[in-house]
Amino acid sequence: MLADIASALDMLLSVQNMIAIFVGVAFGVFMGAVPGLTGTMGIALIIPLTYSIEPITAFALLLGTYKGALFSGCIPAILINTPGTPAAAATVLDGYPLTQKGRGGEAMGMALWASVIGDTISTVALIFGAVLLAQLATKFGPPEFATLVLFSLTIVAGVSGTSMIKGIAAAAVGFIFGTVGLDPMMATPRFTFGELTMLNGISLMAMLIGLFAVSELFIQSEAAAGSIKNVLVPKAKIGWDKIRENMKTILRGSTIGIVLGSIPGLGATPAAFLSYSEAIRASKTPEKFGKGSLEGVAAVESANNATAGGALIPLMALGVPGDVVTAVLLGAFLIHGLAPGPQLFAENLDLVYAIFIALLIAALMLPVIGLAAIRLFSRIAMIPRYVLYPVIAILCLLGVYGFNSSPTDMWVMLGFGFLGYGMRKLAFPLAPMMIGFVLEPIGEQSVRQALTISSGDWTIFASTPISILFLVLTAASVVFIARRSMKDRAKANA
Amino acid sequence: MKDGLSDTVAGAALVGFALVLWFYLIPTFVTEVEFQAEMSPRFFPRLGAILIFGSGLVLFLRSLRTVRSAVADGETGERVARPLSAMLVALAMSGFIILFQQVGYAAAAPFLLVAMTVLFGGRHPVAVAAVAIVTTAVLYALFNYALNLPLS
Repeated sequence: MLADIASALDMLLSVQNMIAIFVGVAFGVFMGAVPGLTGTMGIALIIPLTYSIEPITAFALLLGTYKGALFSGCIPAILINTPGTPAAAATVLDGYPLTQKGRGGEAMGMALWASVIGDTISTVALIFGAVLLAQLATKFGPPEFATLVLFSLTIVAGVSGTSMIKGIAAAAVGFIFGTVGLDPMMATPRFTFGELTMLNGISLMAMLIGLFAVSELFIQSEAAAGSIKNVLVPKAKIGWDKIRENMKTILRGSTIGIVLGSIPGLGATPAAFLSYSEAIRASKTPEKFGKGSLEGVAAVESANNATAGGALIPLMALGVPGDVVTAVLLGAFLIHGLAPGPQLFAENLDLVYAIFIALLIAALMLPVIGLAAIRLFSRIAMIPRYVLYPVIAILCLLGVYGFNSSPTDMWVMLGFGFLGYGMRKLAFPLAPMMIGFVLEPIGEQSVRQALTISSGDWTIFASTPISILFLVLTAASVVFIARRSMKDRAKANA
Repeated sequence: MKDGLSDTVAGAALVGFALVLWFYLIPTFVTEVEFQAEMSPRFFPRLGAILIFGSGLVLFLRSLRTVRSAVADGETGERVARPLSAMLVALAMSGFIILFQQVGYAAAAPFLLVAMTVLFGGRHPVAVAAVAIVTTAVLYALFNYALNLPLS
């Protein structure tokens, strides 16, 4: 093993590879910070450039991009209420209110350090627990996924604000949007209205940007010219006392991120929302969530960054991609003549260790590049409204178009912009709609696959220890939510 | 619109949407397939419709009580200040999409940028023109050359 590590260090420690990691992280940060551009897109763009370079340099560049993009989605989420990546959607909930209160610098600082800690922990988990966690992940079949999704749906209560019924309604509407496209089992069209582009379902990016960014544009346009000044965001600065205060939340978020990231098919967005919901459940001040809570930012950012290491576990150990980005990374491995999985560990252990070390170095570079990026993007707040919002509008449109090269997606985005605007006017929370949308396809497919396996016997959902555990957790969550709701009502009446 | 009243309208709209889903959209736009023990493709859309109907109904009934007691329930929505501006922004964005499809990025982008700059309070002709020209050129270069995503 030591010989392999020495060989890995020898392979990795060169100026060229360090530059590759640095450039990768910086490029990823840029891709994540521009709404509409994503880490997946960044990696896809870089892959052709890596054909002729050494595999380790190529992976240093690609994994750096992956990590950079995961972090920087929080920058526009905190600054302009527009998540740079889907995973940063939950950051909007507390990040933007903090900016509006003039505490954007603290929010950025917390996001950065929670990301760095989450990322580092997940990389260490990847190194030490790759095989172990990959084995656990393989125990997840359709019944376990279905019960996990059921448990995850209790998140809706945590992000519904003060009106849970509006949260449930929003989640149900999101659930309906999630059914658009081809039926997951029969491949028959549902709600596609004859549009070929709708066969793949509603684009998550179009929905996200429409709900959060376009609705914000509409709201901002209502303010009389010059009546609202852009909120000045100071340097990303946060005291270690604040980080220590939120360390439990960060560690919890990191654990959730690693576990959910390692389960193929889930990815960073559900992990971020689950971590947020758990933070509310565990917090001494749950009423502060959604109104500008540093704890909320810490929970979300630690979880979504920790999915990086988690998602690489099944990819590296089993050759199973955990999400879209790792699916693209799998393609990169194959392009370089490497097949991730047990064979990779057996035949190229030095390369595996070199990749692990590169991931740790990328985690160390993240604070440096992240701080510089925050400083750069924070200048956004000093740009006059009549320059900032037109640029945001065109970036939203082109970002959504660039994602699938589909003009239909731009119309879909505009439609969701209207819907988000109307929902905000009627005090409906936006996040539950997204949760319903994200979880519906995973839940539906799992339920239907499980019922096909059991020939329609519903007891399959309580047939394994993992699914029983999730059912118990769901029941406990419902009891907890009901008790909290009763307490809140009693407080309000008192 | 007061919160209670807006909740009444929203609740009624949700109930109406659920009924349209159940009686029109699902039967018309979701093909029923019967195959052995396989669950119908309509099951989950129907489940969604039931959830929307239930939550809409509860919201509607609770809001009636709220209106009667004149006590606001739930969060206060962001007030409609100048809905016309929001409509104009939407119109400008729609114009961009149509122009983008018909004549391409080079004509659509300056149109959107000029319209949006004016809508967001830009009045100086030089500033308006500068935003339109510089942003159009920078984004064109970024998407076409740096990101290799042609804007046709």
